[in-house]
Amino acid sequence: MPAEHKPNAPATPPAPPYTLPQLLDRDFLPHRAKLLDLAAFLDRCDRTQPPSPREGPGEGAPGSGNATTDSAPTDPRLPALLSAIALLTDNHPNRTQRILDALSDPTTDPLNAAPQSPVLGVPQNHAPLTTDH
Amino acid sequence: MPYIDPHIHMVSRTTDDYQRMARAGCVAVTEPAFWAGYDRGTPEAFRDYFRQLTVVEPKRAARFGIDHYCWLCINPKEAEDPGFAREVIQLIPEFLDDPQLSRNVLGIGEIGLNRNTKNELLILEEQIALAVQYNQLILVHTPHLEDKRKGTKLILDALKRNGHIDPGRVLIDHVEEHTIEMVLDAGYWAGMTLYPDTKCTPQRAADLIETYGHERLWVNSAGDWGPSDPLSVPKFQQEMRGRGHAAGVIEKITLTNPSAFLFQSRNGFATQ
Ligand SMILES: [Zn+2]
Repeated sequence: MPAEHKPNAPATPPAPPYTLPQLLDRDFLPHRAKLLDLAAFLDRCDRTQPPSPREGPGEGAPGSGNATTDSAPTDPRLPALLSAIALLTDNHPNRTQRILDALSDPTTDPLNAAPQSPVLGVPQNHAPLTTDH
Repeated sequence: MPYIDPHIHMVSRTTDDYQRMARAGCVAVTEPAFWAGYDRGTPEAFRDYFRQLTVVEPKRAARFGIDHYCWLCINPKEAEDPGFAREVIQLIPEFLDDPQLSRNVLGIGEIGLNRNTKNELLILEEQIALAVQYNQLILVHTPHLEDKRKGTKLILDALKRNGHIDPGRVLIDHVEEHTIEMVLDAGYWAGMTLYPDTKCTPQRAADLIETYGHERLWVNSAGDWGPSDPLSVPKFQQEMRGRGHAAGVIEKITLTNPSAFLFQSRNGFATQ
């Protein structure tokens, strides 16, 4: 246990009881399929119709054609997802935690009233992630 | 392998679910009071709900050899009107003081935050105080999705502000990779909820066990009226087995740990 270990924090557990080849044999194909699902979802977003004028952010289609590459879509979900995807390949550890952090409300004060908008799964005012760490 | 599902809303599940859970090894469930999918119109509706949790559900579970326990509170989603919430809170001692009705009550829960508002926080603080006054365990709901990290911090601050809380008697539920460390570091128990679209999966829960160890952790299904899976705890056991984890470790997370936490209850958790 390192000297700076916090008193309540659990001891570092041992390495899990499997090797990388064993893990790949067991779990590679399902995750290959998940990658293709994600790619197909982004392609599907690109094929969508333009939103009707009544559809605001958070209510409907993410954008007209090339939704994943348009410069200023109003719905924060796709830009946040695309920024988070970049964290998968940056060769830094703790990808899951860093993606969850990136998708979290960065404010700290309690709100005066519950927001009218539903939870979207991304911060309501998504700012693009910086690439440095 | 026997297991406890320490967070599941059986009032929203069918009798067939009880049967399937029993066949999969479930020996006990604990059911926190929560939002019904609509806002209840009167505080009296909560009295009926609390009777369902303390009287009706234990009998339904017993038919399948499953012990049923519950937690009482007003949930954060219905806590935005403090006047209404306080009327509900006033009903809870009726159940805690009655030797018959309190027999399966483990504590106050699931209290917490929903959208991280000032009113929700106020009612959270008042229910923490109620738990202290009645020497009850606490089960905490943390908010969903983008609100979780901020809400978990606000909840930990509120518990600390109370000044009389033993972290070993509080379980913070629905932790994920970005909140588990702050919960365990502060000495609280942490619950991992296995949910299809939000919260954790059996795979990620197994990852968290491999990362943070076996102490002060449990898994639950939080099965309710929404997309959820009442058999997700045995699916977690299966995932751990498939990875080659020892049976003792799996039993610790799914049976021994929940028992150890719940045995601290004033009213007596009796599942062996
Ligand atoms: Zn719940």
